[in-house]
Amino acid sequence: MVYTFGQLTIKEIRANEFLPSLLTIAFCGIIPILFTLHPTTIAQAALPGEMFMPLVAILCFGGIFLPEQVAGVADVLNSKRTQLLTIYLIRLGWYTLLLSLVNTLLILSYQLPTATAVLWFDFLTKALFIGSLTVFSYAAFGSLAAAYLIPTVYFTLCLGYPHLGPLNLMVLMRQQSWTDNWWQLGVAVIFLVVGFRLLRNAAAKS
Amino acid sequence: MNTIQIDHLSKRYRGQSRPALNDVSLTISAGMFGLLGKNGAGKSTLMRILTTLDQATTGTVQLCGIPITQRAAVRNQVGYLPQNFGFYPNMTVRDALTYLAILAHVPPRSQHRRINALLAQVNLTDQACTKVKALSGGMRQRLGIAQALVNQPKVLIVDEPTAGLDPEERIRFRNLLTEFAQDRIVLLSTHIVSDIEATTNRIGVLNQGRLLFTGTTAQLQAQATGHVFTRTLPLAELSDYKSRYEISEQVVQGNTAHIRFLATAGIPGANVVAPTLEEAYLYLQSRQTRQEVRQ
Amino acid sequence: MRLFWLEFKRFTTSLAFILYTIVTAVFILLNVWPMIGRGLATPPTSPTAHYELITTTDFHPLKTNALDQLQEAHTDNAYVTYPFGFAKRVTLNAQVQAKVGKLLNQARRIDNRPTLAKTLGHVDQLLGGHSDYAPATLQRFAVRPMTLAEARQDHTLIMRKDRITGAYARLFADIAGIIAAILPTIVIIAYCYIDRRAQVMPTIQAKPMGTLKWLGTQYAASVAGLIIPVIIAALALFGRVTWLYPGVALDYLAFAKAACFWVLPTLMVSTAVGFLSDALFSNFTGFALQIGWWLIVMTIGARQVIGNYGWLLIPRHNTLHNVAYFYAHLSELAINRLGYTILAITLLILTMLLINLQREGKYRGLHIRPAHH
Repeated sequence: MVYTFGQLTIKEIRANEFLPSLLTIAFCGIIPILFTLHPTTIAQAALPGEMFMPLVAILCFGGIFLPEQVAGVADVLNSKRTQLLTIYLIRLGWYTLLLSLVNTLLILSYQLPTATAVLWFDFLTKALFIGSLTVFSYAAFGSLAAAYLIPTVYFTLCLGYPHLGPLNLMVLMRQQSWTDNWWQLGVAVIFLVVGFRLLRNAAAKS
Repeated sequence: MNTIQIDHLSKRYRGQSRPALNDVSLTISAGMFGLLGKNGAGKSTLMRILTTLDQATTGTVQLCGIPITQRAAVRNQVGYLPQNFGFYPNMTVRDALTYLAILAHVPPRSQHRRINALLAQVNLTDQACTKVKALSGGMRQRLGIAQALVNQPKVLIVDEPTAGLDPEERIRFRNLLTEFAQDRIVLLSTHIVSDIEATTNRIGVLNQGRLLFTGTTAQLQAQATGHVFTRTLPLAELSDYKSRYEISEQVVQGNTAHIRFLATAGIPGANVVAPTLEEAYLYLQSRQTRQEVRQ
Repeated sequence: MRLFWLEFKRFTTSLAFILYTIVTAVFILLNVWPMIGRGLATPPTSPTAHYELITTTDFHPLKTNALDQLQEAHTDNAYVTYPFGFAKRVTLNAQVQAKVGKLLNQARRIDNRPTLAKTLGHVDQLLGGHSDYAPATLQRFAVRPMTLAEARQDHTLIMRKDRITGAYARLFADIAGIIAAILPTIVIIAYCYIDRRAQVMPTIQAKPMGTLKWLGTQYAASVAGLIIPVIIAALALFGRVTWLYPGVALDYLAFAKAACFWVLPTLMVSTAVGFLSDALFSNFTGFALQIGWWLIVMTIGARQVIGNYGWLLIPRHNTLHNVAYFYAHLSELAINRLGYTILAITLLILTMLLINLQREGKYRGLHIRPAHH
């Protein structure tokens, strides 16, 4: 069983995630051009993870739903024992892993004596929060436009709207407590659970 | 001048060893013409070139006397129903036809009248306010043919129009095509032999980009005469036959099988029968394959 | 015209448009509505109050602020530059440090702006460019809180030239521009993606209508639809302003002018990017490019939000004040907006050329292999 699932995962990633992942890595390649890799403050160190990676996350997690936009593919997959929801979970896991790897490389390149764990947690939370919002938006509206529009607007709100409290993505950049990330992680889990339940219900109805 | 004149037409896609079309020459006059070929034979490429959506690598085409390079003029003469026809899902049938009528340069004053007439012809009047996404496969194809006729074209090109339709819709659609072929050229591309059989006796057969045959269905059948056989044999021998001959029909009853098959020469114990159009088509294809193997 | 209405109807009844309208209007109102409550009609009187920031034209604060910052950076050998708007730390070797020190001393003796700009321009070159000392960005050192006299002058301009609504409309345009620079790209890509799934292109492309007319109509209908939530927000804000200022002479067209001349060119560009991206990639790759552009523009703009036009896709004026700066730089803003309108049209023409090539079978996109043969 494990072997079969592993094979499915490899085939899925090779078929649908390989090229977008390369594009993601290429896109992340501009981080050293845009941001300093020798930050002097934690706020400066947090900039790429809080300003740039959420946008990368929208691109990645929005892409989870692209392959099934071809007519009939979703129905074919849902007619099998391993259903489309499992495929979505594989993709979600893959992109989380990919973004975590990019975050890890970025933080390692900083060579900071402290705050490494805080930064890593912060960056991972951003990817998961925005990613889960993408999944939830798609599930709630069944629309690709929603999957990209809503997280983008949320990110934009974080840039200037002052009333988002602990759910503002720019935690370390704005010298808020890093523990705000627990709130964001909690909401991300809720978004994911509700999003996947909605997707499952939609699959059952179709 | 109501002809399509194709001369030494070739199309080669970059990065592909085999040409999609290989030195095709063909003259099609008014009425229905069937273009038969299996998937990947080059039919859609030919259709796309005739509708100016693709360019030939070499060769020339004239459509009602207009060289295919004069795209705007050609598009005025052509109606096209592409393979897998679809349209904006949220539009109503009437809006879709109006939209395409405008793109087809139908004068505003004639649009309403012409669209109503077309809707009646294709039996979609009751669905005029239905959204495209709510149409059944057959209805969508009928919308497709209506939009192709909206500019009253001299040439109607339909690419695999009956694929996926139920038998009733397929018959209805074929009848529509025959009606429309009375005063124009209708070029029907398909891999379904029964569609050709039911609509025309003038055909061309494409295989791997080459035009293998052009003529009447009777001429095609004549080529296969003497090469189609029937035989009843024990079930155990069936797999041996399958490996040696091309089986066109098999009916199994108990331990015996009644088969029709193609062969180059007579087979002891088998009776020669008159070939159907499908068998003639299969014979032509297998003869071509044999020739290629020999070469 | 009939084609335009059919396109407009199709676009404005799509789910992508409905979602866009809601989030755009909500975004603008969330950000601007609380600011409308700030009273502008009362003239400033307190000599000790903390007034809003303005960009001054004074030479001395500019020189003092610039040289103080340069002195500090030089002492620590820790300079900051902003390539693409993002801060990067620069450390110089001893030789270049000495050159900067020499230029700093020279600058102290300068008493006119062009010479100071030239000298600090050399410093910028030594730092590798994109620093605060570049002539184009030197103005940032002249930002400071208004004095009472300046606040009174600002108030007079708000009452006489802006007629109150003008000040709110600038803030509205600033916020609306942020969202109009990115969301239309998503909407158009998603919209075209659905059309592609419906396999409409061969049917349309085989028709005689020219690509320019068809694409131009589709583009015009999309832009007309995409501006709707901006207008809705403008109307709501205008209604609130008229309710808050009864009996005051207002500029009734201020919000309309801001929407049409300030926000619209931005929206036209992001819409055109959506169409171009669809013609080029047929997927969401274009969104990555637009979001990259947007992020860079946002970051550059964020360094001086109270009045920053230049060549920014999103000209910034995130304040109800700094009015004198706005009127002094109106021609700069007008050239910016005209430039982006021309850019949008250029992108559209590029899209048309690509579609024409596709229509003739000469170009199959960066993703498509020959599918029909």
